[in-house]
Formats: sequence, C-alpha cells, structure tokens
Amino acid sequence: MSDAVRKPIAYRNQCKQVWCTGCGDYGVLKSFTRAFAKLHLANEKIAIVSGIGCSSRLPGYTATYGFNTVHGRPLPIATGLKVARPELTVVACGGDGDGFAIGIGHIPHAIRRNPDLTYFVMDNSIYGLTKGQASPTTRRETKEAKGLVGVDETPINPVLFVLASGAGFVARTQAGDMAHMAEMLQEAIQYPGFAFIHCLSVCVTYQGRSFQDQLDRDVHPLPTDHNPTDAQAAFQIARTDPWALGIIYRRPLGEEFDAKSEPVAE
Amino acid sequence: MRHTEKILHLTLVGSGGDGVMSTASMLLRTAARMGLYGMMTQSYGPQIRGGESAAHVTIGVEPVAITGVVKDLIVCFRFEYLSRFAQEITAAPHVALFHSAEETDIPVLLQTKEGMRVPIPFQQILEEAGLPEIAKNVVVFGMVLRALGWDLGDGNACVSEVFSHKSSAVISSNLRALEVGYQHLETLTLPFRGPRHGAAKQTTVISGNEACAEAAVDAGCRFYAGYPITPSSEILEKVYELFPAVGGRLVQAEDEIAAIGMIIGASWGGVKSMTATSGPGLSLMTEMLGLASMAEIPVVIVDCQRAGPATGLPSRMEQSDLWHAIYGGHGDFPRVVLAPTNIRDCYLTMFRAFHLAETYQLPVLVLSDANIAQRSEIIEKIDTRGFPRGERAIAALETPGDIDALREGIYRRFDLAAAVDDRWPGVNPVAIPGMPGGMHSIAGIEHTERGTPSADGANHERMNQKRFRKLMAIERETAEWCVTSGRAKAPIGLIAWGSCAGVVQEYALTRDDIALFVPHMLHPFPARALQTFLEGRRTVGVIEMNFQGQLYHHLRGIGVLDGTAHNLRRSGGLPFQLDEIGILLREGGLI
Repeated sequence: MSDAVRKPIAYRNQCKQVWCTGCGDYGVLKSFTRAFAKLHLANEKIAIVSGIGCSSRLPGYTATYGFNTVHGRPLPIATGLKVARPELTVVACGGDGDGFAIGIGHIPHAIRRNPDLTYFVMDNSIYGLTKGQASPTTRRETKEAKGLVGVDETPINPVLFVLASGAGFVARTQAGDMAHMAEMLQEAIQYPGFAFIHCLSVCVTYQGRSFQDQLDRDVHPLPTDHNPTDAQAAFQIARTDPWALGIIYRRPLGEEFDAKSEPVAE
Repeated sequence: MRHTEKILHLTLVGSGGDGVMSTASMLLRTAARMGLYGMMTQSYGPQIRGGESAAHVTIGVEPVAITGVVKDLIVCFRFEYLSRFAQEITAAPHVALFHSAEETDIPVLLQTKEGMRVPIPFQQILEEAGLPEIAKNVVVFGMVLRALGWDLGDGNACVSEVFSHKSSAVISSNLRALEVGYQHLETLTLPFRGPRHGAAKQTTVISGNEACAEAAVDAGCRFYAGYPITPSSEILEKVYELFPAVGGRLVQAEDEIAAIGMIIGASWGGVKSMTATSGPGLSLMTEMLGLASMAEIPVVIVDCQRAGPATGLPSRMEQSDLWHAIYGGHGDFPRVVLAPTNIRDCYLTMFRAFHLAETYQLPVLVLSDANIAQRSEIIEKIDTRGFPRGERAIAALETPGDIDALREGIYRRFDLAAAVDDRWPGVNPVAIPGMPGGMHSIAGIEHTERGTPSADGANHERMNQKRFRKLMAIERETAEWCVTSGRAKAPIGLIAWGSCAGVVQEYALTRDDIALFVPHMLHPFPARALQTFLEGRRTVGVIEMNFQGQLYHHLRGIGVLDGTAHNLRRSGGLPFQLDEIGILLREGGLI
C-alpha cells in the first residue's frame, strides 16, 4: 500500500473487541487511530505496549506492532524498545491499577530517563477486570458507598505525582470526548520526551452511572489563561482541580534535558 | 626444588585503607607480564565495603585452578583481622610473615618453627621517604616483588600501566614508592623461592565478571539493563566501559523487574540484550522470565549466584539457584540454563548463551557464582572465532496491498504450519517492530498464531508443544556440551558443575580410580552423554555447593541417576578446598 494518508480505520485490525458495551476504552481506541491518522504515521512505525487490565487489551486491536505484557510493566518494556528502535512512535498504555498500584515504581524512573514516548493511563478508578475492587485512584466516598476495601486510604493524584516526578508533558483528557483525546495524544506524541496523559474514563459495569454523571457535570477545560509552560500554575491545577482537561504542563524544550535518541548499533 | 618455585600461595590481610586488593592485583599483573599463571580471590565480611579483607593470590608456572589455603607468604597489617579468615589461611611450615612492626603478639595460627618473621615499620618507611599514606600498597608491592626475587623493572612496568591514566607526578611518586619498598628488603633472603620464569604467552588478567561482559559484547550484545547487586555489578560496569566503542546502550534500571523488562523491550526491537544479577534479583525477574519465553523473545540473564535465600551471604558463593533457574516461575515454559566452570569458560558460555537465545527465541540463564565472578585469573587470550553465533531468523514480509490486507494482517508470528514436521524446532521467523508488513501483537497472555489472546485450552496445548519443541531441538544441538576426564574404567564416576568443577578436577587428577563428568549445559541436560559416561562405574556421586543437592535431585528427576548415587554437598561459603573433596568422598563411602 502506498504511503498516502491513511484513514483512522487503517490502524484498526479485525480482532473483535471484548470490552463491555459503553466502556470508555472503545473511545480511547478510536482516538488512538484518529491521532495516528492525523500524524500520518506508517502503521509499522507504531508500537503500543500495555500492561494487564481491561484497558491493556488495546494493542490487540490495532494494526500496529503491539505488546500486551504483564501487570504493571509497560514502561520498562516500552523504554527498552524505544532505546533499541528510536525511529518508532512508542505508546505505553494501561489502567490506573496497572500504572498507579503495581507499576508506580517505574513511573518516576521513566520520567528521569525521559525517553521520547507517550504514557496513556485510562483511569476509571476501579479494578474492572477483577470485578470491581478499589484501585489507588478510587475516591474515598466511592469506596464507602460501594463497601470497597481501603476506605481509610487516600487516593493517589496521578497528575500531581507525575508533575512532581519531573515529567515534561502532562495532560488530562476524558474518554467521553474523542476529539479531545486525539488532540492530546497528537500533542503528546509530538512532544520530544516522556509525555503523560491522564484519561478519566468510566467503567460502566463497576463504576456505573454516578461516575459518568459526575464526569458530565464536573469536567471542564483548563482556564483560558492557563499557561502550560508555567510549572507553578500546573502544580496549582494538579492540586486543586481534578476535573480540568487539557495540557496542564509542557516544559519548554531545552529547559532541562532533552530526550536522547541515538540509535543502537547492530 | 621446593613446590614454591612451581606454585606459590600468598595472602594479604588488611582493612579498607591498606589497599590489599590493589597490591594483590598488581602482583597478578606482574606475574602475567612474566609469563606466569595466577589467580586472585578476595574475601570480605558481609559489609562488602570497608572493614577487614583478605586477598589470596596463587602464582604458578602452570595454569592455576584454585587459591590454596596453606600460605607460603603472608602480609598482615593487623593480627586481629586474621580471626575472620581463620578458615582460609594456614601458615606453611616455611611461611614468610610480613607484619606491621607495631604488632608484637604473633597469633598461634601463624607460629611456625622454620618460618620467618619480618616486622615492617610501614609508617616510618612512608615518613622517611616523604610518601603519602595512599602509597602504602605500592610500597608493599615492592616488598613482595623483592621477596619473590622478581625484577624491579617488571614492577615499574606494572605501576606505570596501573597509573597510566593519572598525572606524571602521581606515576613518579608511585614508582618511587615501589623502589622504596623493594630496597627496604634488599638484604632479605627468604627460605624459599617463588615462581620466576613462565612460558605463558599473550595472557591477560581478568575476572569472571569482566570475561562475561567482554564475551557478551563480542557476541553482539548491544543493549544492557541491570541493577547493581553483589557479586554481579562488575558486569554492568565493564559493559558500560565497552559499549561506547561499539555503539551499545546501557540503562541502570530502578530494580531487577525493570531491568528484565527493558531487555525484553530492546530485544523485541531486534537488539541482542542481556542483564546480570544475583539470586535476589533473579527472584524479582522471574515473572518476566516467563513473559520472555511466552512472547518468544531472546534474552540472556547472567546469575552470579551467592549464598541464599533472601539476602543470605551476599559475598559468599553457593550453587543454590539451579532449581530456580530450571524450574522457577509459574506455568510451563522453556528456558535454557548454562554454567561456566572457570573464567576462560565464561567466553564460550556467553557466546553459546546468545547463540541459543537468538536461534531459539527464548530466555537463557547463565549460572556463574561469586567465586568465578569476582576472582581474577591470568588466562591466555581466547580465540572466539570458532564460537557459535546464531542469529534470529527474520521474516520475509510482503507489503500489504490495500487497507483490508493491512488490517487483516498476513504475518503469523506464531505460525504452527511447520508443526507437521517432527523435527521442527518450534521457531518462527520474526518481524521486528518497524518492518513494513509485519504488524502484529505479542502477549504474555496465551495467544493464537497471530498473537491475539486465546482462552482455548486446545490452543494452549498446541502452543505449549510448539514452545517446548525448542528444548528438544536444543537438546539435540547441545548433546555434547560437557567435558569428561579420567579413565573409562575408573570405578568412581563424579559429576560436578560450575566453579566447583575445577577443584574436583584437581582432586580427581590425584587418583586413577575417579572419572569426572562436567556438564556445561544444565538444562536441557546432556543426559545421553552422562549415561554413556556412567556405564560400568561402580559408584556415582554428585558434588555441589548447596544444601539440598539440587543437581543430584534434578538428575534423579530426569531419570539419569538412580537411588544408589551419592548426594555429596554442603552449603555455600568458602570455595571447596582440595582436601575437602577427599573428606566428602570418604564420608560418602565412595573411597
């Protein structure tokens, strides 16, 4: 096939998706393919590396290179791949449990190394695949209301965590807004370093309607005067506004280290 | 002629600032320059850095297999340090003992009738010569050089080489320190002479860890990720030193889980990749050992075994990770386990490891141990030209003609079409990310031929069969990766592996009733070769350093040994000594 511009559908394989009807992950998949199409990426130059969980099924549905690894470890594997194949567009993805429970130890170190890859976390604040246990991002009220383990444990704030770890690109989006997700993903892929996207997502089966209602009610764009190169403003948003969507922080290039991408000799 | 002219055992005992390791290392380098062979081992407490330490050096005109316990020459800065090394140090009757002049009470351990005591006023010597404290190790080096009757010129050459990256002032200060030490003992005549003339050519001084690193880079390794852990860290350091010249990349990972994850990622990207660790790290890597096998990604993992479990004895050797290497992990999956027997053997072992990993697309473990890893040896240059260098089979891909073909995907990563052939090794040519037409996904979840998830038990069985075909093919290829010695008719057949093989071999040479089988391949095991070796033996024993007799039980499990075989083992700690082998055999009733 020629390298003519491909439509989003060209990035989807023919494997049947097995998410629940209404799951936010369908939208995420569509936004991935839309962003790839917008960026005119050749299918073979894309590699998606996921962990384990409902959302980590994603690379199984794309006509790209994909690796559905083990629970919590997409970042080390994606980092190794990017070092070996710097010419690839590498996207690591997974859920909130994968990233912010079992895999959280890898996040600050990936950020320190600053590989040119995107880490997309689909955060539905629940363990869906294991049928509804609390995750590290489940709010205390939810745990109380649903009788989940860990009512006394404070949830993690993913955006604050990655900002504090020194990430150069931090954005928040939500699974109900495909255009916004695709836009954030395009920006993240184009950012020459480690880029983090926090995607608020609904688990229709175990979070149910109330979380969707809350999202519908509370998400909003970042203030129009928000300057994403202002780290203090980014921290302020991260601390105070869990529903603001958009590019929260983008470190100007050259301000710290830039991602390295010398190829490995063979 | 005393034995000391053929082989000499010396030891230096001191604490952090005494520089016993660097002195010993200079002696070894000088011996190499003189065409001699030698070995240096280090001994230290659980604190690893700081505290008392001992450097054992054995120098010989023939290749050296072990550092002996009975010392001809001892340099001791503080007698009180000796107690920690009581099991490692025995004074020969003719021992020459150099000790700090301020130490007066000779411990019983070092009292001999014929021996010679040489009190050395280290502080005074340094002060009179205007040398800094830090030069003490070079002064001692000069003294030992003189005591052994070696040329000052060889010492000069060594010092110049060791300090070559320092300023000329530092070099000349150290050359003077050498001379000061040498001249201090100008009038000394020892009751024995050391080896002086060797015929070894083109030798180099190298540790097992350095050898593994050099061999890995020679074998084509271009990505390394690792987490520091004793006794493996020098592999990481050496690879880091070697990589710039060949364009390799190294990442120091946040833990061993990340380390194996990174090498899996890089190897998926088509780059030969490895890590090195020790027992605790291998435990952390175990989940992804299964992932590498399931996703069919070649990786090489060196495990420098130390005494376990948990933290165990971090600075001491043991051979107790064998079961973990062969059986560790959940589920059924093939992996390969190799073990080098000495430093020379690290080269071939690493080439074989990459060869098997790349050819068969699976994880390969190399079981080194603290003894091989951290000792230094003078070895002849290794010619690696004839070593195996298998490469990963790369798929011939077609570019999809239209979007439907692109989405459908033509490439089958785990194609089973060849399974009709009984000799098929279960290996498919691979598409590396970036290659047009090869898009597919791989997974740690069980998958179909295309790599898509499958929960079908029948498919799982077929995929297990495919993956385990690799082991059968490897067993065929490596059936002779073992070494036997001794008479075919010797009534006693011994089996030893890893670094213990050397001392057992030394012992076996002293008797004609013992033959020895040393497997270099531990899994899959060269079982047929062992069966042939065992034919007609009256008694059989497995000698190894672990509590449970891990190789012994493995060999019984795979049906090569029966209940009459002897399990000759002890827990880890110090390396086996020659006489200990005799004791094990006597206690086992074999001799």
